[in-house]
Amino acid sequence: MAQEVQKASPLNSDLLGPIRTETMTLNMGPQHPSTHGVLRIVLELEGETVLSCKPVIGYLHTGIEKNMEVKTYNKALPMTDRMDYLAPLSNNLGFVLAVEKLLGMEVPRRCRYLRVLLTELTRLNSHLVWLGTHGLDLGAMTVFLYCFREREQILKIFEKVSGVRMMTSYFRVGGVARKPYPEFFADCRRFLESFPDRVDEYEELLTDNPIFRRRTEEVCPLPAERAIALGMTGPLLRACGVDYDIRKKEPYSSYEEFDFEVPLGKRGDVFDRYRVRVAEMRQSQRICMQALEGMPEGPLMADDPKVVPPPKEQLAHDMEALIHHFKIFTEGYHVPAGEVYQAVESPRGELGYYIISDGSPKPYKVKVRAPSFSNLFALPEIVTGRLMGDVVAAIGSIDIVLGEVDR
Amino acid sequence: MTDTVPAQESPPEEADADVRALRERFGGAVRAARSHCGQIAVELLPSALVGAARLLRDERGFRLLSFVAGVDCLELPAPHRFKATYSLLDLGRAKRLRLEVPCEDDLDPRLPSVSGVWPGAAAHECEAYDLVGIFFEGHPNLERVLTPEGMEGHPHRRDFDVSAEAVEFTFRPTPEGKPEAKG
Repeated sequence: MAQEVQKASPLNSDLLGPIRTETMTLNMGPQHPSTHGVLRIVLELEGETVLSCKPVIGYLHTGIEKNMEVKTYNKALPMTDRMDYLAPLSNNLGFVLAVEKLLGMEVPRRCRYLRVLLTELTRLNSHLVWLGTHGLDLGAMTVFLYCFREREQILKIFEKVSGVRMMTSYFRVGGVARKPYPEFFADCRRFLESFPDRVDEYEELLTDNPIFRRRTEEVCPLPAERAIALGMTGPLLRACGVDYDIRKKEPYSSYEEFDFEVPLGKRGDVFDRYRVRVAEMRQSQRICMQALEGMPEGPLMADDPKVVPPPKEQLAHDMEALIHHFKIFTEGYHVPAGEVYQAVESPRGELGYYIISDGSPKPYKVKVRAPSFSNLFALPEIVTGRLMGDVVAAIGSIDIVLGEVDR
Repeated sequence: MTDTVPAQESPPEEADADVRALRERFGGAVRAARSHCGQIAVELLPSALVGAARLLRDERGFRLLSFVAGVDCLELPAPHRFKATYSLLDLGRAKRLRLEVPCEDDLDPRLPSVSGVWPGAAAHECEAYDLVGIFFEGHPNLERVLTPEGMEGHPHRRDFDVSAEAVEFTFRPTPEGKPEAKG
């Protein structure tokens, strides 16, 4: 017995055998705190170096696009929030704009401004969750608590204006679900005025933090050419220095009337992605303030009784309003046949709705171009040849929402 | 697909330089072009797809492929059942172009893969294969991405059965003294 132990000892160099050279396959996720949901990544490692990486998705696939085909346009709308649950209003906006385009409908300017205000608050909300969790991934616990403190204020505003904290479904085809509550604009203003100081706080914690910089600077850079070829959009593409923001280049919902800058990075590394998103938060705050200042008076809903439900008061004494109301909520409204693609700049990049209508009250086909889907499949290229620890930083910097990837 | 909705579509957009360039190079393979809601869609034959993709990327500036979508046109008045839609974006001009490519065989829909032109297309083609069942030839690794392992059929086909799944009952022998279960 004693002899056997001696033989197995690594000190006995004759018996060490050949050095093991095979690579290791490591399964990361689907339940892993840094995969931000249910993402599974199969990594091939040599020591700590990543040789290959394969994202495995589908754990949250719920068939939302298929489900929309059997629902009227109004009933399909609440499903859009469930895809990117961190940016529900951006999803609502993409969908309603696509349907409005097919209908050839124009919404009043006040409605467009209100949509801009709320969509930018959504961007703040989403970027705050990203910043908090990204910091958490990289060991900066405090930022998470600060970010969620501000996010809570935004969610409270969402709750008061739409009735729900996260799954707002507030934008409707032809307008919004209901008038904003009386103190809505004052609440927004109070939050937005304090917000730049908050961003300063986050930056104090992270931007010059040597640990954070070591984990992010020069980590997982991607040249602009490759980012374009891989179909990356949004803050990831802008971090590579490509000046493309749909709000500027293909303005929708009156974005052309707002004065804001598009922050750009240079190297396209994790730190640049951080810088771009933090700068975007400041720009979003500016847009929100402009929307508050310039909020036009006038009607909120489009004047189209076949699509926009009549005000509740009318139903009691107006027969026609009652008929319209009944038709909208039972049969739905007919959307002219045709195909349309509407892209909006969601917090994660180009979010697009490709809708085919056959003229019936239900969409024939809805395809959602989810920004996270394209961005996630760039991950193998980003992390190959890097260290295992960088994978966590890279996933965080992509800012995926698996609900949107899997749909 | 152009005959789907004749009333709403405006006449083919011949004035567009990109459509003209495609027509010059590929002639009859460019079946139709139309403009609807200010968006240009070009219908191409599958044989011209990869060539057209290269032309559009290298000479016309469409360097970013936004998405690939498989569409089942079963209930639309289209000559072929399946088609794939490719949405392209030229970042410089902020211009979008849609390519629509019908699959010639309704029973075995196949298209050439454009993942060699836009690497980002690979994941989208996997999704179209998974959900609609279009086989992309020349794809580096065509596999199901969203549906679970062992899935049969392609759920985004219009004739895919979405009614409730049969519940699997496992019967235990009836305990003594209780009546037999009916059926």
